[in-house]
Amino acid sequence: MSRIVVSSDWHTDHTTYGVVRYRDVRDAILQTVDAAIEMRADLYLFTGDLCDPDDGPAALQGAGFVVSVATRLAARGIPFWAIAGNHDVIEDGTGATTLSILQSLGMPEIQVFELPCCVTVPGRSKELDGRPVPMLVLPYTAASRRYDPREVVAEHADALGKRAIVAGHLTLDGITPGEETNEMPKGRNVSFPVESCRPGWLMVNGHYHERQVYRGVQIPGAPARLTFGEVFNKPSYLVIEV
Amino acid sequence: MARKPRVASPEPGFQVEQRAIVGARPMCVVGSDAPAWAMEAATFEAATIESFRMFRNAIVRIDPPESATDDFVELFRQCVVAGGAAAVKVTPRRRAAVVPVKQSAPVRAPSKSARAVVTELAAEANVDDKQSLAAFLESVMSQQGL
Repeated sequence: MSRIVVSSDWHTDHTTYGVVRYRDVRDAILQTVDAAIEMRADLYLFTGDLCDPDDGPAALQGAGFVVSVATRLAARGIPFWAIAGNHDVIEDGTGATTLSILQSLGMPEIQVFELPCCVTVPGRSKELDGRPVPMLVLPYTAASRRYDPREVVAEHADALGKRAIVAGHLTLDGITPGEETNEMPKGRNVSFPVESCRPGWLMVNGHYHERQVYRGVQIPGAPARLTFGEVFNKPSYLVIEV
Repeated sequence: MARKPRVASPEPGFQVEQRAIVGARPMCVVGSDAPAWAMEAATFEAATIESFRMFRNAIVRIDPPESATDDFVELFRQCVVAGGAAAVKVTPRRRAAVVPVKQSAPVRAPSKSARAVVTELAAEANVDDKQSLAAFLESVMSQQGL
């Protein structure tokens, strides 16, 4: 069995009416890390939006935090995978993100996805007769590295097979926009290819701050209420078993 | 308190469990229709101060109604702060019409003098300092010989 802890949209740099929210997010994420260690998760998956790169000190703080989280998990044998979100990208033509610092650690347990790719989830799935579960990763990319998610799905569909995970940080057409769209907009719309995904695939997507399931897509939501449009949100994270 | 996880089977072979973040900072909005706005300031302060503990550690936005006086809004804000709120934001409110529309002077009011009409409207006006308003109107009416 593969057990995956999923959290999203940390926004460690956010400030609400003068209240710096870093500690709120830090404390929330440490709960998820403790849970992952306690349950001996096979993977910790972060589905994007660590922080904006524009505010140097706040971005540095966010980068330091994600490094501490990733290395703590890796030290316990739990891989940490991070998918770039729209707030993470640095639009300077390099394709770098606020998560890029994780790559410099050179640890195989820690992976950053700044381009779409197909990987296999650590652990074994009963459903797949002990074989690892394939995962297609669809990050938000800088404008200089844009891609068509539908084409990527079509390209990997056969390799993904009957049971797979498609995880990304894209926009969902038709969803009621939350504060991530109204108060914290950034970047362009890149649609999650719901129609291109096959039945039997589990779809997971960051970007939206309210925990919900929309058109079969599992949205973890943010670990903290960040704006007054999120007063009624219930900050949470997901545990996926396959 | 034990969590009650919500477990769903979105696709065959997968289990998805939602787990709540414990102790997430609350955010509260005190709307312009909140019952507190209808209370008297004197009783409000004495009787309900304890209930403001509900704002402990919260980020609070106060949307006062247009009828609330500046003093009362400030009192409310201070109570929220005293209740332990991490931050309080009072949004600007729309000023109420100085002369309430439904009580504005009728076009035909044969039974009342001009002075009586002005005095009545001044008494109903949405201003914080009615004495100053009355004094000002009195001076104007005196100048006009009313």
